[in-house]
Amino acid sequence: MCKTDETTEIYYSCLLCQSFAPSHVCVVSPERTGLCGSYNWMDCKASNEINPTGPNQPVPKGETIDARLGQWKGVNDFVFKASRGKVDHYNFYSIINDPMTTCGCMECIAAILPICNGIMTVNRDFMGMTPCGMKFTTLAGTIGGGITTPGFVGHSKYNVAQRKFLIAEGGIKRLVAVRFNERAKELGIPDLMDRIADETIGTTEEEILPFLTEKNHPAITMDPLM
Amino acid sequence: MALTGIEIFKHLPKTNCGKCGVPTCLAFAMSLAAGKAELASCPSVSDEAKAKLEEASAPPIRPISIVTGDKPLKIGGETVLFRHEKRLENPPGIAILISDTMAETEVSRRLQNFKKFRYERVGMDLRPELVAIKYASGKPEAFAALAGKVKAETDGGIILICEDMAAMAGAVAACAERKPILYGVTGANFDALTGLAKEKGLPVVAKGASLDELGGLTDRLTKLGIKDIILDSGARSLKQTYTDQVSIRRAPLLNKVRSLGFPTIVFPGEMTDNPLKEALIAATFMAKYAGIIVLSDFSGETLFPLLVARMNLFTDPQRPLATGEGIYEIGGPNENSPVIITCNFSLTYFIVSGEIENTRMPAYLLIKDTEGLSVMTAWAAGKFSADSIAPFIKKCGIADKVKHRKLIIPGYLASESGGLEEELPDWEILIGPREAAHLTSYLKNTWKS
Repeated sequence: MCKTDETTEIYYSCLLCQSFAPSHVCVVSPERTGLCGSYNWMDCKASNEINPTGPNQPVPKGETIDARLGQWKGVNDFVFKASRGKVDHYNFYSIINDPMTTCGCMECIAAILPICNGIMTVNRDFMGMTPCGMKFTTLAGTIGGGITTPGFVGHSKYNVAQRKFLIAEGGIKRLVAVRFNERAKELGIPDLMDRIADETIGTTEEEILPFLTEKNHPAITMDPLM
Repeated sequence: MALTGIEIFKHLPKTNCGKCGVPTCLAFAMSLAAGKAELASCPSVSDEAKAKLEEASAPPIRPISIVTGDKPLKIGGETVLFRHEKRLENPPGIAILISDTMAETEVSRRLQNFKKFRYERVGMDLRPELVAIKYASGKPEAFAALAGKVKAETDGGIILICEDMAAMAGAVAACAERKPILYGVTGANFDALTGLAKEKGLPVVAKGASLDELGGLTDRLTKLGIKDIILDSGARSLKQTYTDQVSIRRAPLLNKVRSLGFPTIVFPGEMTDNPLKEALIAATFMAKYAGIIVLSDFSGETLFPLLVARMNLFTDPQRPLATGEGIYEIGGPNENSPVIITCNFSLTYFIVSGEIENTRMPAYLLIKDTEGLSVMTAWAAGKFSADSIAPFIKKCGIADKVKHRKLIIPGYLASESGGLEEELPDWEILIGPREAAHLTSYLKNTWKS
């Protein structure tokens, strides 16, 4: 049986990254793993049971503020306290509307590509230029450190395959450029994968847009991102 | 409220022309949002968008570039109160004070010290950048001559401290290409000094007796189109100066007080007569927000720690300090000297090179780019393994420098020795000690070319 965010009342926090991103608070739900890729909901639960005063604390999600964006009152309260007042809310499922803060050790960074009306993501092993005009290291330097950066969000590789990945913007149908083909092939949408550009198609938006148009990528005809 | 990168992006031309220096408008918008770029870099932004973005895109504390004979000194441009929030951007410039009443020999000694006290650490050049020249003689020609001498003999940026307008004009003429900083604009000399600054395009120090007065001065300067402003709150006690520095940093960052959004200048030498205390005060203001620190004199035992403290404070806490990849010659090695390889984490480089020096055996130290990670971290991340070390050994040119083919690798990389022997069939791979401290006994006991 798969746990879903809807059927789970207790999420878990992760404060391991606060040593270098003091205002960053990860809240891990069953359908959104920690952005480092190292902690899923079950890991956090286990860690909490081993060390009840440790970095992973239960977070009762409380009243739902926005089901589509993924925002809960209990989570906001916890984040406000754990970030010592720096961050008062964020959304689990959106990249445009106040996405979750980003620490610095994310496996991947998703960024909007405004011209393509879509979203790209790049994993941390890819050193080259990406279509958004920034390399992974530049992206990480720009959005890391425990801040909310609309248009950008850190996430784990596994998260792409999870049901809630950026679902507020249409989920993986928005993905127009990725770096990790292996992972995406496991999604069971081989046709979509063929329509997504990677670095062999191009590393600028201008280079990948004709490809997306030719392949009739769903993002081209979706509602405008901005 | 500052705009986010996405909000800024909406107003940009979206052409991805790259003329601003970054490849896409989105990347440029992110730099603007972070206060790291200026809207003026975009050649095709519309006037309408410009008006909307100006407020949001201007960095809260204006970055100022000061001309020196070397590369320009950048000050200001800060975006946080504390280093751990992001990073401190631009280290304060350090100036030595010279007066036109000093004897010729004393001036020469100070200029010599300015040139002499330079240190290289972890590939960084640690040095003072500025010379402050004080008008005290009452003889404008002496002041001008000194300004000319400083320009001719040093590559330092110049601060002219002078209240007499005629003397100031003469000194400016004597070092005009160096674009000296004029110290300082007050309510009394406002028109005369700003006239000079505007004509020659020079940065100025605004000096007020209180922060309110200072804010009023900068508003007037900005209206005149003079934007390269440095602030002196007038305080000359440690306590009051500290309070002012903190207020001047907090006001633009937290409360958007634009009129105080400029770098500052402090004079520790005017707060004490004790050179050691002066150095301690200077260290205080290095951490707490000075843009320029004027010291009454330089001595190696206080300047060097100050330069190191400055380097430490202004490194980016999110990026490990790294040394450049390449071959480092230690102690004048020859074709029979040992060849040792390690990672480019600065601390590792520091320690290993220091230990090699201690052995008094000349050696080649090869530094492989591991993105600033230490040996084990780099190895665990796959950035310091046989398949990345071997190509580096081949292309770095060490084979042309030594006759032997022996490579000493860190003890912690022992598991890579087999891979290296395969990738580098000409080379004998020697497993060095795990700790740098054991290099001396290792080299003394085992090294034979």
